[in-house]
Amino acid sequence: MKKIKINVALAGNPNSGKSTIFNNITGARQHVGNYPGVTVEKKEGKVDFKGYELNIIDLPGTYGLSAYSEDEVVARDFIIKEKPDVIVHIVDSSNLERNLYLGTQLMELDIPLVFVMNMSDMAEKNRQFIDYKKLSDLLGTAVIPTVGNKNLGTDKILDTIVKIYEGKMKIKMVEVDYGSEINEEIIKITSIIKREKDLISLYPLNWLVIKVLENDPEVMSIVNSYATASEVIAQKDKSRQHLYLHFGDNIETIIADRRYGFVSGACLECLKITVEERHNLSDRIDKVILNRVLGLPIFAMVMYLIFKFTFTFSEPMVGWFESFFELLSSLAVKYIPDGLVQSFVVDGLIGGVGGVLGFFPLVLFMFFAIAFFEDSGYMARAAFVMDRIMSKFGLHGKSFLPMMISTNGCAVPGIMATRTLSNKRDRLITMMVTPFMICGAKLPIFALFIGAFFSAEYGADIMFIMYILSVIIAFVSAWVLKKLVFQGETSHFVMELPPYRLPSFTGLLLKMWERGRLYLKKAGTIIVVISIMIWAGFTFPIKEAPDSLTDEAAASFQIEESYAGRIGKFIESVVRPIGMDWRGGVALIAGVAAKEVVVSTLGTIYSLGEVDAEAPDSLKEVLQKDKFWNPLKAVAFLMFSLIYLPCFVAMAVFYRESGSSIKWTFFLIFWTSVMAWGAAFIVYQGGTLLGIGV
Amino acid sequence: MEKRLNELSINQKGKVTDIYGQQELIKKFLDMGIIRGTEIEVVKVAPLGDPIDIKIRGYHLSLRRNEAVNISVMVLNKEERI
Repeated sequence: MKKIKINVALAGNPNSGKSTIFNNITGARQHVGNYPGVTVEKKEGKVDFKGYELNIIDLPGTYGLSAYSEDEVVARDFIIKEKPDVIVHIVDSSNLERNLYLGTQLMELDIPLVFVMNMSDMAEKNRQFIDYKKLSDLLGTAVIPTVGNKNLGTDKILDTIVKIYEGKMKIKMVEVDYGSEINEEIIKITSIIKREKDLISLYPLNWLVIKVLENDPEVMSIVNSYATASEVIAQKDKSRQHLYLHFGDNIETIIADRRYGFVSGACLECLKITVEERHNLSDRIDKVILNRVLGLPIFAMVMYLIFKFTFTFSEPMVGWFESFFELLSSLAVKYIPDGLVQSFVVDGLIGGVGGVLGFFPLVLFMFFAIAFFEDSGYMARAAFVMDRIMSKFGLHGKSFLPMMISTNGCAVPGIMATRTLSNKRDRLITMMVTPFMICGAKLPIFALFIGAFFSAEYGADIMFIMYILSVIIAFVSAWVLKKLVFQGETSHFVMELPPYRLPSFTGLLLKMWERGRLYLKKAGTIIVVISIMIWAGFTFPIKEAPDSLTDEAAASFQIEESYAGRIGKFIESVVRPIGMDWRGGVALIAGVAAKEVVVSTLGTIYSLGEVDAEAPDSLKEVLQKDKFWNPLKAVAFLMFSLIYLPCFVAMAVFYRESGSSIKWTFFLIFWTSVMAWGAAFIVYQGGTLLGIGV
Repeated sequence: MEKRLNELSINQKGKVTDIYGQQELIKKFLDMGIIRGTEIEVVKVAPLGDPIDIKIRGYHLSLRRNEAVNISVMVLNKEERI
């Protein structure tokens, strides 16, 4: 027999322990996805209870339900459109007032609402005693105390949901009394909207009316498509004008005031605070961590730790994957006869899947480290410490981490790390500039050209200048994006500094695993497909090399004749002004597969056969002897490599993380190409004019 | 004495008298519990001087100085030396 499904939405403030409750309820039966078209995470899970299948949706944590942030729109759209059977409002008991404010808005959605007083032990520890019975009477619904991190009260939540669903528990939601002045206007608007039968069958009437009165942009655009629109708008404007004159303040503020009034009233009756603690443990920790002198060094240390953890601890795992795929390749070489099939399996298929899995440990380890600092409460502090510098360039205090993970590390986990940013603008700008940092895979290109054209004593200096340049380019780029592309879109830093908490280990593991899985599933497939396409671009059309050529020369001949080679020649006129010929062009095209491939491709083109990207001594000599190259061209080439397109793995992740936005992905491609060409052009032409390095 | 929130020094307290700014920012303030009559205490300033950390309704909130300028408060206590 098929089980009856009950849809349950978990709502609540960020840091209310909502995820912990979600994990307690669903255990490992959960998965993370994305809401279509937006950058917001969607978490869903299932649990069987008393013969029902409870389908739990963990809504994004929000403080309110207005239409201004993506998170809030997603949360309220879900409730209004999907109409879950029960809403569970997870409340941080030690912060009752602000948490219940969201509750006053959930109460207006015409869906049975249950209050879960989470972290009830923390409240008592802070000497805040809540009379749950009284609160339940006041709110007209069930109030369940829980302790999420000890898994206390979980069954009680499920039990209550089922009872409400079966109708065994009657609830009679109370409503905020907005006062006679506002109520009169509510009645006027209601009388008009009521006539739109279709409209009120889709949305809760009460909610619609209040949102109209608040002039909510989304709701107004819904109302606009109905016949009574002009009447509604006229009445709305009249009501707002009237209330403004009466209160001397805008209506949104008055409504918020009434809601807080309701909450304060409830708290006054149900909450007893015996001793108000002046400085709790969190405050004392902050005295050190946010200290004027120690704040920045501690920040630097934590960032270093995350970096170290991501790249050093994942190394063995990366190594296992590498040897595993090397073994597979050697088996393929051994058992599949030479030719196209072997080349496809080794370079296309195994290369592609290996590429995906090669980044997998990085993604896992990074998300574990980030989750630890996020759940413990430090990430908000890190943003607090760094925001002064970052905000000058249109970035956010939290933008620092993704950029740092990318530097000497990798832009793939870097772009994924932007998940810590909640504002869409901040997130997109950060994602857009993160690939400019010099990632680990760009290093071999720099080592090759600097080694070939500059004496050892300047090598380190030039490398250092390149690092500085990458940072400058990223920041200037962010600033330009803010001014040109995201003009008018605001971002703010009004952010809670949650109390420090010890993260739960299972919670961290779940977060790590779910996000890792998301990477494999969403980005992985794109990566394999593109990897095969790149392989084909360098393999076809197959031209028979003249017999007189050595194997190495034949390989070079094949590249020149391939589609990629033809594209390289085709774009030669484009890259000539920046001091490159078709060989540089082809190498850079190949570099889209992975940046270190630039080096090995140059090796093949210069007929050197297999060149080890880590120790390209033979290639160095060839480049030095080649009349075409000179130090200026080398620097221009490096400038271009520094800035141009991120590798396609990073682009695939960018595509997914931008809410599967083709528009933004193409913009990224355009933006990086133009910037790279411009910078290389300035270097090459400027250098030529001044006669430097030629 | 009335001041803007960004002008308060550490450990100074104030009662919100008005909030200004773009609709989105006002809405955010309201969501976070900053309404007329709310008591605010400036707890800390970031190591680089901005943003600031305030205590309100028993929790900590950070905001940039150019956001805090939109909140006017009645100062409740004199500046304390620390």
